[in-house]
Order: sequence, then C-alpha cells, then structure tokens
Amino acid sequence: MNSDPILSVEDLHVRIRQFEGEAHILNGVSLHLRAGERVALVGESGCGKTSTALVAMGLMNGANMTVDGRVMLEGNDLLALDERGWQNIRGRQMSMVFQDPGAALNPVFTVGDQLVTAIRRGDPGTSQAEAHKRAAEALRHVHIVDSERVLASYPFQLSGGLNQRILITMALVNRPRVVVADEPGSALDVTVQEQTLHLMEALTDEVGAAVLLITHNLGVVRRFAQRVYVMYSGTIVEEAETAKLFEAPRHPYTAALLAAVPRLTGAGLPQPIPGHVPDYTNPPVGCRFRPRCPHARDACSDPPFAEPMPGHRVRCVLGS
Amino acid sequence: MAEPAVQPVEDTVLIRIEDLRRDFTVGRSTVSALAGVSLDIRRGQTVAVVGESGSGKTTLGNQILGIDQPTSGRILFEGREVTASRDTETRRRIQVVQQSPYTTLNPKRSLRQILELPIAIHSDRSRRQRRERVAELLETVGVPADFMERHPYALSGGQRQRVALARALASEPDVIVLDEPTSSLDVSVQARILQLLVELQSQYQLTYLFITHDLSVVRNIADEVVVLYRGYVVEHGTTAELFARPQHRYNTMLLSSIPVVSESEEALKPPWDWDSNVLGAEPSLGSACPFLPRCPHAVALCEQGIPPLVATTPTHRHACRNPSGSGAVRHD
Repeated sequence: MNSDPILSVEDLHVRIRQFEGEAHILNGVSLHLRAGERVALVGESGCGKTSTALVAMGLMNGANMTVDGRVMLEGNDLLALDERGWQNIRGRQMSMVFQDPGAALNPVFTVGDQLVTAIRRGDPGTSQAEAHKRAAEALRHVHIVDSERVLASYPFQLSGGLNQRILITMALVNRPRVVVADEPGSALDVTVQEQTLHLMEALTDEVGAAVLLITHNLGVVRRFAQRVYVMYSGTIVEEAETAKLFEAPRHPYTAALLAAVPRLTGAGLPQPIPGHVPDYTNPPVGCRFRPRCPHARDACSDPPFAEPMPGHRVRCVLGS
Repeated sequence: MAEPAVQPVEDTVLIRIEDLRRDFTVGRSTVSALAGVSLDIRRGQTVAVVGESGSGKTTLGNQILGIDQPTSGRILFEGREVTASRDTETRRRIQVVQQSPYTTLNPKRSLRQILELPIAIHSDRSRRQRRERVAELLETVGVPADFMERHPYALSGGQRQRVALARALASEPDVIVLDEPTSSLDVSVQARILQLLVELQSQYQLTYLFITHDLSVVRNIADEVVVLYRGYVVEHGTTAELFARPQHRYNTMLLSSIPVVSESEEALKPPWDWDSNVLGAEPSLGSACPFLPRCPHAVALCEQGIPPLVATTPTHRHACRNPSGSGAVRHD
C-alpha cells in the first residue's frame, strides 16, 4: 500500500502574468502515483487539470510564467531538466495520450511512420524493418486486424476510435513507467469511450505503467481509477480511494459535483452548483470554494488538509 | 408541388414523420443518413433522439427544421405536409438551439441585436416594444436584462446557451429542436440549463426534440426515446421501457457503456461483453442489419434483409432479430 511513489508532484504553483494581472492558476498542487496505479484527476473546465499534466510533462512553459514546486520521477527532479534531458523522459519513461486523436496524430505522415518513429526513439538500435514489424504486432495486439492497411493509412482515413487506439498503442509501445491520459475518450462516442478505457486498462496493466487520467467525467473516474484527486480552481480539495470518494465525499465541492450528475436511476433533475468559478487573478483567500459553499464559515480563510481516514484527505474545515 | 394535403391525424400528434430518407452522395457511393425513418412526435412531449456520431440525429433535426430536403418521405406538421420551402409562420413555430453557444451566436452583434432579429421577423412590434420583449426574454432565461448591450464574448458558456434559448423562444414557437444543448457545458452548468428547459416547457407548452448522446440526461428529461443507428430507427419506446427492457443489441451496448457514479445505477446497466466486441471496418451491408458487423449476438437470420421494426408493447418497438429482451436480466 505505502510503496514509494513513482511520480510525485509536490506543492506546484504556476503563475501566469496577463494583462488583467497575475493569474495564480495552480495553487499548491501535490499528488503522487505509485507504480502501476490508476489515478484520476477530476474537475470542471478551467480548474487546472490539464495545466498540471502539461507542467508534469514539461510541455508548458513560457516567458510570462513562473513555476514553483517539484515534479519527481523516481527520485529525479524533472523541473530541473533542460530540453535535452526531457527528450530522454518523454515518450520513453513518461508518455501522454491526448483528448482529440484527430489533432494529436500528425496529418501528413502515415500511422506507420509515426509508430515506427516512436519505436525507434525508444530503442534507437532498431532497424526500420524491425520497427515496422513491431508496429504491426503492436496493432494486432490491440485487435486491429488489418494492421498493414492501417499502418499505410493517414489519420484522416481512419475513425476516431481507431486513431485513439493507435495513440494509446504509441504511448505504451516503449513501456513507459507513467502515462498521462488527458480526457482519452471524451471526443468519442460513449461505446467507443468504453472500449478505449478497457484497452487502456489492459495495456497499462500489461506494461505495469501508472496512469494519471485527467477527466471531467465522474462516471469515467469511477469506472477506471483506483484513487482520485478532486481539483477546484487550481487546488486539490479532496483525495481518496475511488470507492470511498463516491460512497462518502467529504469536501462540499465533491458532494456538489456528484449531485450535479444526472443519474441513470431517473430520480429527477440533477442539482446545479450555485455561483461561479472564481477569477484567478483575484481568487478568494483560503478555500476558493468558499463563496459557493453552503457550509462556509470564518475558519474557511485557512482550511487545513485533514485526513479523516488513512488515505482520505480533504482540504476543508469540516474534514475531520 | 400540389396543395399540401390535409390529413386526419390524431389531435395529439404534432409532427408526423413518414418514411423519411436522406441520401448523401460521397464520391461514387451513397450514404443514407436517414434510411426511412417514421416517427410521431406528440404535443408537449420531450422526444430524445440518441445514437453515435453519424447515426443521423442531426440530419433528422435539420429535416424537421426545414433546412434540408429529404430524398423521399415527408413530414406532417399538424397534419399538413411541410417541406424545406415552408412559410414564415411554420418556421416561426419550429425553432432550434444548437450545441456550441460559442459558434452559434454572432460575435459582432449585441444580445439585443441577436434577440431583436427574430422578433422583427415574426411580429410587428415597434422598436420600443421589441426592446421590452428582449428584456423580458433575457429575464425568462435568467440573464439580467441590463446585459442587453453586451456581446457574446462577455458571457460564460452557460449564459450564452441561455441566450441561444432566448433566441429560440423569441418567436413563440411550439417546437424546439435541441441539438446537444448541454454537451459543451460542465455538469454544474448543465444541471441549471436542464432545469431551465423543464421550466420553460411547462410554462409555454413546448414540444422538444432532444438530440443527444448522453443517456443519463435522457433518462431524466425525456418522455420517449428514439435510438438511431446508421440512419435506421433500431429502437423506440417510452423512456422507462427503453431503459428497463432494452431490446436491440445496439441499445443494450449503448446502455451498458454509460459511465455512472453509483452502485445503484451500475445495477441498472445491462451486461455486455466488451472483449467479444468486433472492431474496426464497418462496410455498409445494404441488405442486412446495420449493426451486424459489430454485433456479437448476430444469428444467420440477421443477414437476411434489414430487420423491420416490431412492437413488443403498444409503446415500444425495436428492429432486432435476436433481441436482448427475453433472456436478459430484468432491470426494473
């Protein structure tokens, strides 16, 4: 249970200077993944899920941005790496599956070219022919029967579901330790989304990779993840094992989010959350959910990170 | 075209769709976005149309809105045939709200201009009256009336969708085609828009054609559900029946793929063997069940022609030759 984390994000702060002022978009995000674990980061649009992932992958930086904190992969601080150092990490030890498979694959190369490139990056000694053979095998392994035709195709000639399957294959072909999947099924039909999650589960288990799944869909979280981080306005507000979080959410935001999901039981319309997501250039002091929270009180100006049960952590004065 | 024939149609049926077909030519082949759809939409009901992308959901909505011509078949509105070249009065009575409020509101126009246009077209209100009506419409959908001179960029996604709804209401319609009205919104905002839709429906006796792929939303808002697959109606029934006793294998697969957030909901999903599912290429078969290439339950009979819709109850019909019905676990 308490094995060392393979990836840990520690007290990550990201500030972006804009015309309107400085937006504090990540406000002390800490999370970790153990080897082979499936973890979800869930929250609504604009809460900082994707920013967290992009910083952890070294894909977000700019002159108007300051990043504080650490991203540790097996004891190495990734934020200290230069671009050359990142090249050895991305696609080898860590890889990413993006939301829109149509946009993530390069439109001017065949699927085969892209898969072969990925294989040869992971294992530079591989010959072109050997890499092609491995690519075909990898596709057959994910139940793509006519692998040669698919390898010779351009992404636009294939369906969204097939492209997503190829992206997942590509992300896992070098047997990375960590896969970050940003809304991997959201752009797809619900039946294809289910197949995509099913495949991700099978492949990451086989390779032993840990997965950080980023999604806004609580149903997908429950279906896929063993552990969950709930994010609101650049802060982690709750962390728990999946079953515990869905049975008994502790943070008022988590509870409100669950109440806003339409239920298959047909019990009636879901409950909206009153108010709005705060402005990042001038967020509320302390708990950022406070202005929308039915339980708000004075102590909310500095909520502690309580741990009511081992492994269940909540940033709320009601927590313990 | 001859005078539209006045047909005796039951009083409650507002829109009757008869064997509607819409073929598109793609290269040398023909794709039927609608392959003979028949459907009655009764006054005051919410009829959900579900199916995956490419199933013909939006094409069906476009036909009802009269922004697309059918290849064959016809649509009756209160018993009179309506075509794409319809009169302004019919257009006034059938309105639309589309998926993305980021692309369906003109960014160069203020909310007042956006909402005044349909009022000016469909009524003879004076300038002042129009402005009063705009204020009234904004209040109706829960946007402060003093936002009138703002432009869409100044609004959140949820507010924009409210404005899109106000625009549809501006002409005092009977029917609104809601094409994925909440798909681009967060759940907390979606919940508010759904509440608003239900309130407006009872306030103005509206009939909704609710096009969506979100079955959990459908379960809570629709009276009837139509499941489309590749242009065919494969199942149609009351919401309760269709969720409790799915018949067509595609509907079973669809219901079983819904991501849910509780054990009690999980128990309502029919089982589906995801490992057995056939993937990939789906050639159009023409003379067989359209779901055959993906169906793990296909039998020899499924290859013999397009399965016809058969009724299991007066309010539930399906087009499956090896339905889930009898052998499946009951979920009610």
